[in-house]
Amino acid sequence: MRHPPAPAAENKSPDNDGLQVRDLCKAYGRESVLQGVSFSLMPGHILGVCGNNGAGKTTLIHLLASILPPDSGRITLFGIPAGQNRAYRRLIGYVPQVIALSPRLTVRQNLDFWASALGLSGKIRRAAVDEAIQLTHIQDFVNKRVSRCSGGMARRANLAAGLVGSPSLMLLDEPTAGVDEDNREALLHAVRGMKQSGRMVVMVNHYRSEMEAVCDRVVTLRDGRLAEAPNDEIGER
Amino acid sequence: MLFRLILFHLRETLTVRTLAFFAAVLLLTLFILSALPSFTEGNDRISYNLSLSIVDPEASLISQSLAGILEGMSGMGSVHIEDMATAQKRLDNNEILMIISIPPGFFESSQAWVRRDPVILHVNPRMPAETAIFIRALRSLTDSIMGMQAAYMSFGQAVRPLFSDIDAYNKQLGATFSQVAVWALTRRAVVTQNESARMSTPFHVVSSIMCLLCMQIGLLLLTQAWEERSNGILVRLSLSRARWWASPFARQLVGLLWVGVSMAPLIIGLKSFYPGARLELLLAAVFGLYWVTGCLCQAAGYLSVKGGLALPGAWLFILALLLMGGGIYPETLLPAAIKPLMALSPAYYAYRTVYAGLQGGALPSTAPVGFAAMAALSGLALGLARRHGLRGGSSGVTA
Repeated sequence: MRHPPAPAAENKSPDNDGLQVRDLCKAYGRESVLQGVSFSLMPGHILGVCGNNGAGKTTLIHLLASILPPDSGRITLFGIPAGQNRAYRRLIGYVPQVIALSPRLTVRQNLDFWASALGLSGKIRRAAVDEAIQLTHIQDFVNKRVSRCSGGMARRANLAAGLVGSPSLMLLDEPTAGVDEDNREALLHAVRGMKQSGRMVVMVNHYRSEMEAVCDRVVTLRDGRLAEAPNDEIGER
Repeated sequence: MLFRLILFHLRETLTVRTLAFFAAVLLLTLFILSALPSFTEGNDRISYNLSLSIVDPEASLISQSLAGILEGMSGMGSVHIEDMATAQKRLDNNEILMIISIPPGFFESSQAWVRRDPVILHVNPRMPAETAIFIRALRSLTDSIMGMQAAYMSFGQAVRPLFSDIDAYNKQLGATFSQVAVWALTRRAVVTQNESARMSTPFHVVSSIMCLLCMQIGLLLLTQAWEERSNGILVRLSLSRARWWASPFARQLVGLLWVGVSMAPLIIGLKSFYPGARLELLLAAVFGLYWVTGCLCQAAGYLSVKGGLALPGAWLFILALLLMGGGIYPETLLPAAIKPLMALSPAYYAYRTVYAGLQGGALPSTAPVGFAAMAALSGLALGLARRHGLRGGSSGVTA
């Protein structure tokens, strides 16, 4: 199980607390996407990042997930630097904008597969899958093939797949895009559940109002920078 | 983890589309196996005899000699001496025919060292194989005639001092020319056809089809790799404990299973029909070609932003590789520009290995090195393409 890793007491320093992002820069060729993004996030808090199309929200998520390397800057999670570091990646739960599940398998089979991919086996794997199912409240359709799920159900199953293995940091890339009202509420409820269980959540979305309902703080990405107090620690509202 | 990934890809590929593909392959296999007996009856061939119409308004000695000698040549059908209208009608009726149109005064001008109108050939463009074979033979014939003409002119100059009377000299030259031409042609020495390495049509057809079927499985992998990239599973896998190569490798293994399922009936049928065939060579060729094509197709899938375009693109690429490898047209009929590139196609080694296996021959010496080099290169391409796909290339990540 990946959550929550306790930093060693003797290594207690600001950099070892939660997620620390410092002076993050990223460009695609000559097009600069992120220019000196910095923030901190403590366990049990949710950061919402909104912005227009092309603002760099997904790039930020990919950098935090260590899928992309930053041009400069530093990301640490409980003192572990991002990059190709497996220890860092083990703490990440990533929920992409698209449904990253096999449509030909049932929801449970998908979750089971992702638990295996994390190296879990036997009872631990089953427990991890059950925990993810409970947190996202998808018991009703867990034996349904993903291809037969509605868009909202598939989004919730997608969220559950990111939760398998109890990651410390959840990265949600527009988790409610194209979802009806009922399923959106269920998704946001699941996100609140993550906060209550002590996880950190970074969620990007177009809609500020929707994020204000669940996030401890909402910032805007504009011209490659966080528009509101980017260097402040993200605290409780 | 590899086992879980294999199961995952197995479920992913077990679709109606895959089953339809296997049904089509099975039907094709049945067709090939049922057609094999007729292949060996001798009625089939990669090219048919070419008939010839000689249009010579003066009915000169040249046309008569040509007709006499060409009638007996291997690969030659009927030889007609007729007018252009009749010959053109034959061509319009799609006869496998070539028209040799000899210009007026050709015979006289050939005896003198003067510029003459060229002989014009009319061919049937719908019969490229036959035409190509005969054009080569004709080039050889032309070279021989040129050589004879040069010798004749030298002879004329050398004997000129022996004749004081110019008419007697011309008469002697004319007689000599006719005699030499007839001797050369009647000895049939101007064109030699070596048929020792004659192509076996059934082996060519079977080798080509095996290569094509084998490469087509790669298209299945392409769509899977594209889906893995486009639906975010690639990113999720990169964050899991799975090694970077595990998913493409598992997919290759699953594809290999499908190759085995789809090709087994054909290979078993061939082995029973050609007991002398070397099964190990057939299997080696299938494995090598599939592995290289599979890697390339997966690479294309990871690189592709729009999967709908990747599929027809890969299909054309497969056909191009097959053409380059001599799997559509035999090597001898390929354009000169393609021949140096043949060794760059995995189908080249596979085709030659299957062909040799069906003949009961030895593994072509270049095949092991060729397959190994291509497997390494295609594996490298796959690794780079996956990395590119993971990082989103230049699109899709800045949303």
